[in-house]
Amino acid sequence: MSTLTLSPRRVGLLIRHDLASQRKSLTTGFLVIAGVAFGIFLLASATGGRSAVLANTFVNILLIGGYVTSSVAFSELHDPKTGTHYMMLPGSTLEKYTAKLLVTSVGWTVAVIVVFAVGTVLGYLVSLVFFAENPGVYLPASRGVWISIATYLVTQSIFLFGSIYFRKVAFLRTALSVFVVAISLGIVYLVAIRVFFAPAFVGTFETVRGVEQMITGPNGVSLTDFAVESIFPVLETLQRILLWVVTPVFFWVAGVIRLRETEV
Amino acid sequence: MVELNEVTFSYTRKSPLFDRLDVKLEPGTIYGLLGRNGAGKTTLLKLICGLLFPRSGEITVLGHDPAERDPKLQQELMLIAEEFATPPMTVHQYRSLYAPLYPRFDGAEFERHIREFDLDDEARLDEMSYGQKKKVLLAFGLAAHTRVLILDEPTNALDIPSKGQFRRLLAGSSDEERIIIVSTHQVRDMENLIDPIAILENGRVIFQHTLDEIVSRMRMETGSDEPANAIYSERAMGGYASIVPNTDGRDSRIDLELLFNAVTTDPGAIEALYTKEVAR
Repeated sequence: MSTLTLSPRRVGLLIRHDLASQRKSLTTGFLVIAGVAFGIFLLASATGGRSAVLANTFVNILLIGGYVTSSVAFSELHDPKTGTHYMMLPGSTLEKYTAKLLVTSVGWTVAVIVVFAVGTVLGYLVSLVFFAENPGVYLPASRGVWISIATYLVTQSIFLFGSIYFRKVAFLRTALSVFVVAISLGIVYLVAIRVFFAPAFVGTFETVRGVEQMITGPNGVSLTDFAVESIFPVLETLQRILLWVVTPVFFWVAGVIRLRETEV
Repeated sequence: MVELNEVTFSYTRKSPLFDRLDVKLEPGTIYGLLGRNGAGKTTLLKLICGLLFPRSGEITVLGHDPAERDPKLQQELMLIAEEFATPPMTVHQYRSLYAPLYPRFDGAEFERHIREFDLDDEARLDEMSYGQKKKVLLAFGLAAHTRVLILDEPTNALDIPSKGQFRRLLAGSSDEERIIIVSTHQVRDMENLIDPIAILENGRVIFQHTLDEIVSRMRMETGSDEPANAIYSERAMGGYASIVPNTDGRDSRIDLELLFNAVTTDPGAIEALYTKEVAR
């Protein structure tokens, strides 16, 4: 199937196209990131050299900047002039999608790590002159930051899909859609809990006193203990599968299909 | 070979732009696709390129379905659109970025075209005029040596010397394997270059003939009076420009604008020249 043809050489050439056509905005963006890292580093140095603020800033830039970047990845598709040029470039749908995916996921992450580190190196050099202590050059080392990076790599697929699906203001529309889906799922869970644990409730969502003892399972085991020991680990595993596997795979496949169906 | 079989396409549900359109384009020719505004010329080109999908019917380009967007086809298919975008880079960077995507791209030929068009290889595309950008794209499109080259209004915005240069380059780049489709309003720019001529009207190809077929069946005359046997006449400088049946086998210069006006005004009368034997 020609849609699924994948030539690494062509993917490389398409990545070159993606970077070259966004060169100006990428350069500006990375200068801003380096500047923010530099400024935050000096601020952290001036206020006692705490490194947590650097980690928080790094994660925020990675996530928010990455989602915005992913949201505009396919913006050229929605303009007749740039869309014609892009869609006529020799490359299968999968190759075009893969190129954008690599640029906005791994490419963005590596670039932010490098640029942020460069910003803090500059901050470090300046802080040696003005401050007694500093947080040290920032490189993502903590487990928490790496979990954030991994979370970005899978969740950005949603915004990449949004950039194909939405013609305008893709970032806001995708974020709003995610918000609406999250709220809807929350309501569904709430209603399910209310129905499933009906005897434990008085009023709409107010639980009865001693609810843990009151509800027992078929073998006399407290249902809440049963839930904690048996149901919650399963739900937790399901949630992990949903986040780490289902979400990216679903949105990658949906993105390729949507791109294949896009007309200019 | 480019073939459209019973292709139906519409932007809205109510009125189809193309209703069971049949088109067959053979290699080795420069097709001139003429039509009024809104006749569907650009849409037809987009369908051939796989940028739009037919609602029904079948399109094959070099044996591929263009809607599949197979890279093997795309590297043999070049569209220079009327409205286009160029990335912010120099001509040289443009070439080194996109040439590797086209296996038969001829770098030396591209440089030659750039020189002939009086362009600078180190000039930035985002600082060029629309006409200059168009010349870069035309130079690239010709040098890419794709088996299908589609040009939508190629002479729009070109200055007078560039139009002549373009005509020469296009004539030189035609070969037996290549299908070149030129969609244009500016028929005078394309005279003596496009052959055959296809005219699109109301979603149908109402006229498709080679220049030989045209001159063998009709003659174009200008005179102070309207000829009695004129199939079509229009006011022109010094009297009338008319199309009359070619009954004596003499060749005449083809006025594409006159032909286009005649075909779109009364397609039946022109087509009748081909369906009935003309008395000679």
